[in-house]
This record gives sequence, structure tokens and C-alpha cells, in this order.
Amino acid sequence: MEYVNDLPSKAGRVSWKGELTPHTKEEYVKNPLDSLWGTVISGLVLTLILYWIVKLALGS
Amino acid sequence: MDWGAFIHYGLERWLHILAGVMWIGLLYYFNFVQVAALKAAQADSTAAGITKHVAPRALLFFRWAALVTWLAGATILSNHFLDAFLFQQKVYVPIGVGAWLGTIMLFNVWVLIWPNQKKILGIVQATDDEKNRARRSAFLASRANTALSLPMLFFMIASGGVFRTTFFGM
Repeated sequence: MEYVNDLPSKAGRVSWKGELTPHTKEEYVKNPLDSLWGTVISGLVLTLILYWIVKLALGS
Repeated sequence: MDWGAFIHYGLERWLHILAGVMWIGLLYYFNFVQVAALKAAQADSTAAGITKHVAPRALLFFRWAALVTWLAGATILSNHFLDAFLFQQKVYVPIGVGAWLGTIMLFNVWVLIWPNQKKILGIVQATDDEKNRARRSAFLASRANTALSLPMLFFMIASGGVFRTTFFGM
């Protein structure tokens, strides 16, 4: 079955025909952006990663 | 008085910050307040108050503030625009990272959030299935922008003056 995408991610995958297949336990990965704390932590981690990349690139 | 410098280093920067506060302020309103408020309002059937009267107004200022912020930022960079975006000079690398993050966020606002919100709010016709997809796409784009706003604001602040010296030693 071809999948459009993971929308809506909590329910499962949606086929081109609109059929919903619930995620199996193995393939279900929680999206950090679904929670506010996950979003903020993702932003902080990204800030640290980019900061160190820029710092290394600048040799400072 | 050097009016050119006053406009370039004063007014443009002021406009950039004013519009930026409105943009990111409304982004945080959507993510920290409205998402949870809508969930609660749907439970007691009062969501229409938000979706009909609050969200369209907030989105109007949100999307135009995003554009003004970006344009004002571009005019501040002026002849160093490419130095920043192409990381051509070391000193413009931090602001270049911030500028790229801001540009991705502007793209998300106008290409992902606003077209999908038009479907959700009934400004353009959409089936229930399309609305559900639009809701999810707009939500994820908005949350991605919230996450991106943290490094974007860091690099905006850390790109000049004493902050650049503190964070990057130059």
C-alpha cells in the first residue's frame, strides 16, 4: 500500500484511498513536536548543536 | 546628523525588532496558549469564539509581521546580504545562521501555515478530510517554527557587539 504521509501521526498512516492503517507498535515513533516541552527541548538542542558547529567553523 | 546612518542603524533595526516581537509573540501565543485553549473550548462548545474572532485577526498580524521582519532584516544587512547568507565572511556567519533560520520560518508561515489555516478557518473550501490534513500540517509547521525560534533568536542576539565577543570570541 502506498502511503501519502504520516498524517495524522497518532492515528496511523493514510493511503491514497483514504484508508487508515494504525501504526504497529514497532513503527510508532512519537513526534517531539506534538508536545510543548518536546518542542522547547528540540529548540534548545538545536541551538546547542548549531552553536558548536558555528564555533568550530569559525575556529573560535 | 547622518540621516542615512540614523535610518539604517536606527529605524530599520527598530522596525525589525518591533515586527519580530509581534511575529514571534503571536507564534508563542498560538503554541503556548491557543492550542491548549482550543482543546478546552472544544470540550464545552465555545471554540467558535476563538476560531471565528481571535485566530483570523492573530493570523493577519502574524503573517504580515513575519514578512516585515524579514524585509527589515534584509535592509539592515543591505550590501552584506550575500556575505551573511553565503557565509562569505567569518564575522557574518552568526547572523547568517540566524537569517537562514528566519527565512525558513518565513517560508513555513506563508507556504505551510497560512494556506492550511485558510482551509481550517473556512476561508477557502475544503472537505473534512482536507481540513484534518491541513490542521496537522499547520500544527507541525507552527511547532517547527517554535523550535527554530530558539536558535534563531540566539544567533540574532549573538551576532553583534558584546554578545558576539562572548559567544564567538570575535
